[in-house]
Amino acid sequence: MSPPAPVPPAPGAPAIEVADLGFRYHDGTEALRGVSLRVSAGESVCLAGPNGAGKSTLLLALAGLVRGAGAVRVAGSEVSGAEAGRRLGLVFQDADDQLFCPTVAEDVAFGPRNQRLAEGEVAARVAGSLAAVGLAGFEARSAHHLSGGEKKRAAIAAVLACRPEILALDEPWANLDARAARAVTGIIRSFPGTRLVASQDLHHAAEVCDRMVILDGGRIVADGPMEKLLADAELLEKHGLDPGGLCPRCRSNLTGRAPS
Amino acid sequence: MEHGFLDRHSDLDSPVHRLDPRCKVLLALALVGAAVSTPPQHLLAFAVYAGLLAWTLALARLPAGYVLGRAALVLPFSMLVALGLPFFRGGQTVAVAGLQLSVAGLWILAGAAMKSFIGALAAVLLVSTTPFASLLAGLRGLGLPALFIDLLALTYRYVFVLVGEAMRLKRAAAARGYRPRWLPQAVIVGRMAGSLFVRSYERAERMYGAMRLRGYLGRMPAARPLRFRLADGLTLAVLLPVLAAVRILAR
Repeated sequence: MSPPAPVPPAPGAPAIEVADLGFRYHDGTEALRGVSLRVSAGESVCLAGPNGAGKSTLLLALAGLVRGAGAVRVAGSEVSGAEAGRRLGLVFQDADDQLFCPTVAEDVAFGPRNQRLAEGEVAARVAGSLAAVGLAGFEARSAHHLSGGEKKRAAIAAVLACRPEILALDEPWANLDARAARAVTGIIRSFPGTRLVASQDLHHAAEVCDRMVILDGGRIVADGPMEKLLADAELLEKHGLDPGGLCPRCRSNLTGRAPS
Repeated sequence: MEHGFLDRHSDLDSPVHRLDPRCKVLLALALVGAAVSTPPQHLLAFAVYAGLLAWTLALARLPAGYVLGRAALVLPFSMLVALGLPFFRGGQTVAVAGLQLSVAGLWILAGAAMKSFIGALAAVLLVSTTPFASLLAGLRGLGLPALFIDLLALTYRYVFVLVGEAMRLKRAAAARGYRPRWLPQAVIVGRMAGSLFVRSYERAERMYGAMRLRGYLGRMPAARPLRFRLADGLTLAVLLPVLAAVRILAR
């Protein structure tokens, strides 16, 4: 007997299907060239690659915020505009872009209220989402009084409150201190649906993802199990990724201690 | 980034803080309207307005120095406009330290000082006892157009982000030895303003994307409705007639 499915869509059902997707920005930069990707429900995928590889653009295309040539399907339906946001919740790199309301509670309530939910349900979602990211009690705070880590968690809560099936995050660990980064890792791990994380922080990503897709120059250049690709130092180095994770000096300091 | 908090102390708790924001906005408007339209010779009326504000300040348990200091910030500006009047206004004059000053001009000067200070004090008390979000809810409750409220909310949210970005640009220039002394160097400031504009434009685009992803369809969803309680009704029922009576008597 297989264990019960953790999320409503059966594991293995297609969560994300991208076929031959190309996208060119107004200035002529070709951000995506013939990207094809299939992610099944319940998978945790790390989207890695150097700066300018097209990771963010791919996430925007999945969310329906940019439209390129090629087919994009999220949770079984064609993406044609930002209404895909209900299925796929995208957490932006800069939390300031995502927290646009006067208070944290209003920001988290923004999505549910736009879904025309009853006020009781909205309040329950706000409380639940803030608790899930460890920000209970921050309801009346305004975003510009939060620390970087708190802002990031509030932005994730605002996305979680929309109850997406897929959680996509753009560089979720960027500019965070170690404690805030650990908190974000914990939040991503506790998300029960499909996860898609664009990141260069492979040592963080390795804690949440089991599959890695490497994007370079707008193309997918590698796709496989996380451990397998992590072990391929040459491949990582070639595509601007850090194969070591920790610097040799830090590792020598850690010798004798059991790796955590 | 270091910045002033517009609604500092608004998270404290006091009878004034607990009043419905609509009630506070109405009272502040009524008081400012009464003070502005009272002729400056009626010092007793101004004493009543000041007394009401002092009472509010005490009830709200706000630090007096902070509130008075903030309100006093307006004085240099209002004084600058009215300062010349005692010299140029005709009519009856009075000798002060060897100068012939117009009595009418002096009254206008005094009036400008009292009115601007009372107006600023009322505004500072309002924002120091009402979190900005509640203030917006109150304004919306009083019938201000929703689009205008949304604009105010977004401005309040992003003005600090924008100031932070401007500060970082300024620091980056200073770190590379930029010490503007000659006019041609001002070109750099123009370029910084341009870069700030581009950054803000791009941020606005990302923000709008974030809003659409969470279902934005052109209008911010209404927040939880405000509740007008007995205390609010009583406060209005007592203070509005008092203000009206003072204003009518001081003719």
